[in-house]
Amino acid sequence: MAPAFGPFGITRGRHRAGGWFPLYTRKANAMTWVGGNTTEATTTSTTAVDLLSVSGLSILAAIPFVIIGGGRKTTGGVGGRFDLGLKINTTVTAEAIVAEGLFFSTSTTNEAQNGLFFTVIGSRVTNYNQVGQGFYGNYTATTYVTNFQAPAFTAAIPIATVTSVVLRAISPDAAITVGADETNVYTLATS
Amino acid sequence: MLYMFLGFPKTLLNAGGLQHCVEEVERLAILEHDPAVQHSKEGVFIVHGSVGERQGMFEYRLSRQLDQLGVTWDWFPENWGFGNGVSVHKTTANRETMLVDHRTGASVADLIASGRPINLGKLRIQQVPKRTEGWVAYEKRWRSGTCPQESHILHLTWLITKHRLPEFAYLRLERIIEDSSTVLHDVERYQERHFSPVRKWEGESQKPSKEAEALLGKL
Repeated sequence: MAPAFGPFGITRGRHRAGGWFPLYTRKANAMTWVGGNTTEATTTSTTAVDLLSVSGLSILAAIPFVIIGGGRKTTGGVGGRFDLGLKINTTVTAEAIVAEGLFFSTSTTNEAQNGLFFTVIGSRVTNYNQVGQGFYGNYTATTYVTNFQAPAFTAAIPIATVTSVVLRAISPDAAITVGADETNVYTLATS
Repeated sequence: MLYMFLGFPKTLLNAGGLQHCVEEVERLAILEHDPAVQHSKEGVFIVHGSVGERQGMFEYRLSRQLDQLGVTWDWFPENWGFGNGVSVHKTTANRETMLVDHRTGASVADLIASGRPINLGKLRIQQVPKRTEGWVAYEKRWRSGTCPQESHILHLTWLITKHRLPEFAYLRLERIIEDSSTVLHDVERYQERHFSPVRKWEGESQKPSKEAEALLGKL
């Protein structure tokens, strides 16, 4: 059955108004999509591609934020590592490079794997522009595969209002489909 | 050459499934898979790790539905990566809202922050969209007047081919991706991994609850 994506394939929704949480403020950046169908972003690209983006953000430079999401790969070819990278606004801060594991990475085993990435980006001020830390982990159906600290930056984070967060992706082999989904951005309270 | 279409493929094929369809089943195109070739907004690059050497610009074709919606080449900001092969991209655009007093337009948060006692009974509270810096930047990417003025998800599907496609192949590709009535040829040649599941958010209803509608009717 065809998905009901609405006019021109756009899934429309509304966001839940902000509310206070013990640790952080949940603003429009943390979306609750309602009333529509949706699905993941996928690619077979063997060079870095902009796979999934969260746009319309307005995170001031002094405001820390958290990025949480999931990545996966299928079997195919001779296997290999699938990697995600991170782009903030138009700056690629951690490029998606096969076998580098800068932001998110699977193991090389030719099997379906999926996992979580969790990254905190701190306040970006003069001389503090690589203030990110996080981790990611991958699993098969029953096995814990990898667990690393991330990200490693290939470029400094822009000291500016963050208006978009983009996941870059690269597949190790065109026969492998890689994907990402359920990526949310949460701003942290500073007062 | 870059071919771009609107939406997640209506046949529910994911990027790998669409590639299987195009290269193996229906043989519509030869896709670019060279791990050194990257297409981006600025042109074609030969890449080694995070370093690339620009080779020139490439041809692109955006579908009619994209044009109708308001997504043109300008929708893609600088440094946008199209990679190679097949990609099904997803953008979520978030529209923040705020509570204001309907009569004065004053923000309820600002009124409360003033520290003075507020008689909420005298306010007519309304939730309105906020024009944030991020939303304005996103809106500018669309052709003037076409950006949906609410939170939404936009899927784009693109393919990088080695050569320009003949028109019959392009039209078939367009139907496979944008036409929900299209039936795939040789369906038995696809596997489960070629499709992505579609899900519906079940947490909340988009419409007001019956209780809320009843209350709104009385107000």
